[in-house]
Amino acid sequence: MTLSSLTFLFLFLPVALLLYLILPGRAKIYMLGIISLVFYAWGNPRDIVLLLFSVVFNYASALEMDELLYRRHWTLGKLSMIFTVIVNVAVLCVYKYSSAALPVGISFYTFSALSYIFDVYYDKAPAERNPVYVLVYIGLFSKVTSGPIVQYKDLYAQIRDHQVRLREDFGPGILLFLRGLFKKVLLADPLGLAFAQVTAVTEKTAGLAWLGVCFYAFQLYYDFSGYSDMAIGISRMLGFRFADNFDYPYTSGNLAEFWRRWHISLGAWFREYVYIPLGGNRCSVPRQMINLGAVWLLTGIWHGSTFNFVLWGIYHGAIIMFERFVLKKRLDKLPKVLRALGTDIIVFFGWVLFFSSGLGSAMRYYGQMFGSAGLGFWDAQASFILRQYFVLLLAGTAFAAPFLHNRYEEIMYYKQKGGFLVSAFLYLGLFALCIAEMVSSTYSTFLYAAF
Amino acid sequence: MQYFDTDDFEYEDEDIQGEAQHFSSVILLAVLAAAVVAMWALILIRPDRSFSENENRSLAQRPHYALFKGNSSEKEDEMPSLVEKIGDGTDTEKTQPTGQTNKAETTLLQGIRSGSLFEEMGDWITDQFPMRDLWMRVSFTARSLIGQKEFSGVYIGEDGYLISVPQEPDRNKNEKTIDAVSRFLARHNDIPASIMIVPGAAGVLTGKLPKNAPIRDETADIWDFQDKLYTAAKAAGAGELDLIDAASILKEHSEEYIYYRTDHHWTSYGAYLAFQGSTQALGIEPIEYLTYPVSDTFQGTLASKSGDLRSNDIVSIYEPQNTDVLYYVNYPATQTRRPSVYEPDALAEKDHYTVFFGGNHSVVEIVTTAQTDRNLLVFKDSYANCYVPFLIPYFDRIIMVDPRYYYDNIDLTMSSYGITDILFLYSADQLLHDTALADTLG
Repeated sequence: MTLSSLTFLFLFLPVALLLYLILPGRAKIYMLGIISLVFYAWGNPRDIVLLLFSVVFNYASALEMDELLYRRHWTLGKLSMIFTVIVNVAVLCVYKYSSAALPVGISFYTFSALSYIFDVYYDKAPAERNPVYVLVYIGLFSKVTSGPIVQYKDLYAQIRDHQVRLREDFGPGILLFLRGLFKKVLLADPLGLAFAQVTAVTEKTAGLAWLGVCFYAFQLYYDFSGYSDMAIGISRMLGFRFADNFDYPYTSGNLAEFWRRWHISLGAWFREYVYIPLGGNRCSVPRQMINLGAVWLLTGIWHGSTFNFVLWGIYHGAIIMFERFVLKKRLDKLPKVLRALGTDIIVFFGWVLFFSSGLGSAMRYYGQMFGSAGLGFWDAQASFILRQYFVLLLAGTAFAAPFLHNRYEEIMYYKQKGGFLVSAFLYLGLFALCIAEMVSSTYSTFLYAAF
Repeated sequence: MQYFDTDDFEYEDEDIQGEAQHFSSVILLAVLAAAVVAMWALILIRPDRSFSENENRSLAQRPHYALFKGNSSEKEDEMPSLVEKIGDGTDTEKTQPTGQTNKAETTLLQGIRSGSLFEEMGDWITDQFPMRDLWMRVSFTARSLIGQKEFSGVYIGEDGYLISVPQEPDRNKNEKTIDAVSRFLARHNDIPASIMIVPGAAGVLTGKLPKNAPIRDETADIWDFQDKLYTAAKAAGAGELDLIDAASILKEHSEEYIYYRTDHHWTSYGAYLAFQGSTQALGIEPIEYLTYPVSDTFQGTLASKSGDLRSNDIVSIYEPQNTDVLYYVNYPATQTRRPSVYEPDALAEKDHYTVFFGGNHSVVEIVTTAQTDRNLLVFKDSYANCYVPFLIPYFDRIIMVDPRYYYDNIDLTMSSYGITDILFLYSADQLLHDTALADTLG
């Protein structure tokens, strides 16, 4: 079940919130464990075995490892950690590289589980004796399918010592959730339609190919950041505070900054558990390059099983190394807008590898971006598509920077008297529009009998 | 309520809402909660809708699961409440069934295990969502306001025209069709045949397309297909074969009402023009007709597909003048005879185009008093339904075969009816993308 489905919005979420709210104290966390299992089983009852295995295995392993370390069996403790990590990664790889369908969220919850193991090993957080708490950490329904990959050390206290602060958490949570829903349903999904129209054209002019990349870049951003906002918003309603997962990445001045703003939880995970343990940037330049290379290779592999993703990781890694070791701060004097534009071109260019089904089709697309179709830069077809989705593209661009959101909050909540009322109704209006989109996306006409 | 009278405005810390934002989210929350309750009240109180006319499909119904094996009769009509569902799914797994009479009904537990319960719940909620059609219109309106012109393969054209976007023909299927038709015509090379492939509105009503809309040249596809068919048929040893160029005939009238605005078919007037243009190939003399509109509220398949329900269409029928030929229509599959090719009952249904013959049938026989000693066999899709009535005064028998529903031996049918003329009458949309005709002809 996705967070942006009618079933979730009208059945699952209200029931989950109600159960959470009416139960007293500790029972809330146990109920969240049950609810999360039901959520995961909804739609894929078989895969839940794998999730349960991950929870039980990591729960037991962490306890064992903790015991060994407590008794100062350092080598055994380390071996136990390595074994646990290998099992986790092996399960992930088997599913990623076999033809079987990838169990929902396995890349995300496996990384959560690894964070638990590492944090216990490095003594950043205690091992947990209550298996339900581990279940809630790994499988909390709001984040189990698509993240954010919250690190154990940031979450365990919120589970063990769960605070219910409705006044502080419920309101911001629901607003963030709704904004995420708007991003996903009103921007990402229609942009996906626009992108599909571009890819349906076999011979594209250069302009159309670039337009397609722009559609995809915004679709991906609003899809993923919208979904993250929904997940973080729901978690907040349930009393968990996660850090932001996206921070207006398309306004970044260089690629390193982009990666501090895009899918922040994944970048943080790699920094915490790969880059820094390898020595980070407190070592020689060649060693730093190896460390960066490892991180970016892994980042690429994490995103998908095809070679395209490996190449995409290398592409980003190479440019980040170029920025750090060659460019240094030489471009920092340029206006921010120009640097952001340059960064976006680099990022957008990389998305082609991301959305293409194979290297061949990626190369063909790159060719078309530089006019290999021999149709020039623009044609009527490109006009037709641009005209249909121009407003959407404009909205996508406008909301990619924080300006509008900040102005909105300032006016509605502070400057304009009665603005809060207007704001509430604006949210409701957009929510109604989301329902319209969700209902119509299930609208399928059966036409065969009509012919 | 102590939340509301604090005066600690938190402008700086984004994590804590200011007073105004807090009020805003309280209002929002109240309305959303009310909306959820109202939505469930509507779903549960009203009986489920069983069929969506706009979508032309059955809607998912409330899932039925027995709570336990054996006591299904008590629980049959009770919606498994959410609390029960969550509770039963995880806690009461070990509860033993009390009764013995297992009616092979799925229990709640089985439903959860197989995932079918969740799936059916989801389908039920989305299909029975209150005001489904209204939401659909809201979505369509919002999208067309910001400029979207294509909805599910349908262009929103000028003057209320909805135009199906033609697809690239399937070359492999076309080769099969050409091969089968050629061999069939060679087997019956003593019988003259005609073929008419009708383009869709996109290639004809070019003035009605949205500006700059890319469109595949369907006419070129038709000509290409016909040329290949003609060459192949002649090479195989076929007899007389006339190609009727419906595309050119229709293009001369591209400003007139020759296609429905909301449906993928041509209008009776379009069919009439094509009939006028094909009399020579069929060796017949045209006569006078009077035309009557029978419906002005038709909303066809393209309206359903796109969600654009703004226009209506007029369905007309053509009555031949100065002819005393009588006829009846026989439907062998159901062994029914009808006095007319028109079925007025269809006008009470969604698809008014089925006023012609009540829709498609595997075989339709029209028996007339024309006494011309000519028996016509028509291989057809639904485009022929409003065209064939024009042919009634000219043939003793007209046999319409719709290959999509036909499973008999076509050569036997040919000889048992004493066929003297063959007509292939198809829309390009069907013939160039389908192998039903090849399967029928063998």
